[in-house]
Amino acid sequence: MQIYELGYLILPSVAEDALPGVTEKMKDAISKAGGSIVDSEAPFEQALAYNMSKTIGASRYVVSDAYIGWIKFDSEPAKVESLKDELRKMNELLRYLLVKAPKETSFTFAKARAALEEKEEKELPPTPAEEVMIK
Amino acid sequence: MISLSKNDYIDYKDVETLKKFLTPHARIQSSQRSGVPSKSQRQLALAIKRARYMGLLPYVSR
Repeated sequence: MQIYELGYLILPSVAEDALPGVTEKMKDAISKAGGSIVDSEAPFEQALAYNMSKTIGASRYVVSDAYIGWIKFDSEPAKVESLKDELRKMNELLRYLLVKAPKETSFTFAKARAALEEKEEKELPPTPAEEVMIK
Repeated sequence: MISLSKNDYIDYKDVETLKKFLTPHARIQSSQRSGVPSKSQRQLALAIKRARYMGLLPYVSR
């Protein structure tokens, strides 16, 4: 068995409340391919570093932001190819990235955001109101 | 200089760390400049390329 991580981008045209359905669809595809889910992070909207396009049928969509999330799972290396085929058929997905990953989750977007906010807070000098409160 | 341990897993999603190893033009810094171990440099380059594909980092920047 090998631990894999599936990073994905969902089109921004998908409604916010339809996102759990899309992730559920991906998780179903994983379990259908013989994988068991280890860890995951719910998708959230993020600006992309550059514009991407997705062609569905005859129409081409150019997007500058997308929902990003990831799922970590345990699977047989031989069965992963069939999962890729399933994912390619999903029209809601802008892109996906399937890579080998370590078992322990050392990074999550939520943790990174918290660390970044903390750093910004430290750098900013305390506002006058806060100083009064300290005294 | 930014230090990176040989045993650390370099995650492609960790944009804040990866950004430190890019030049102002968003190119990958050479190992001479970054000063990280060769093994880490290879993992770093792979992580940056993955982050680019996922739209977390730009391919080019002026």
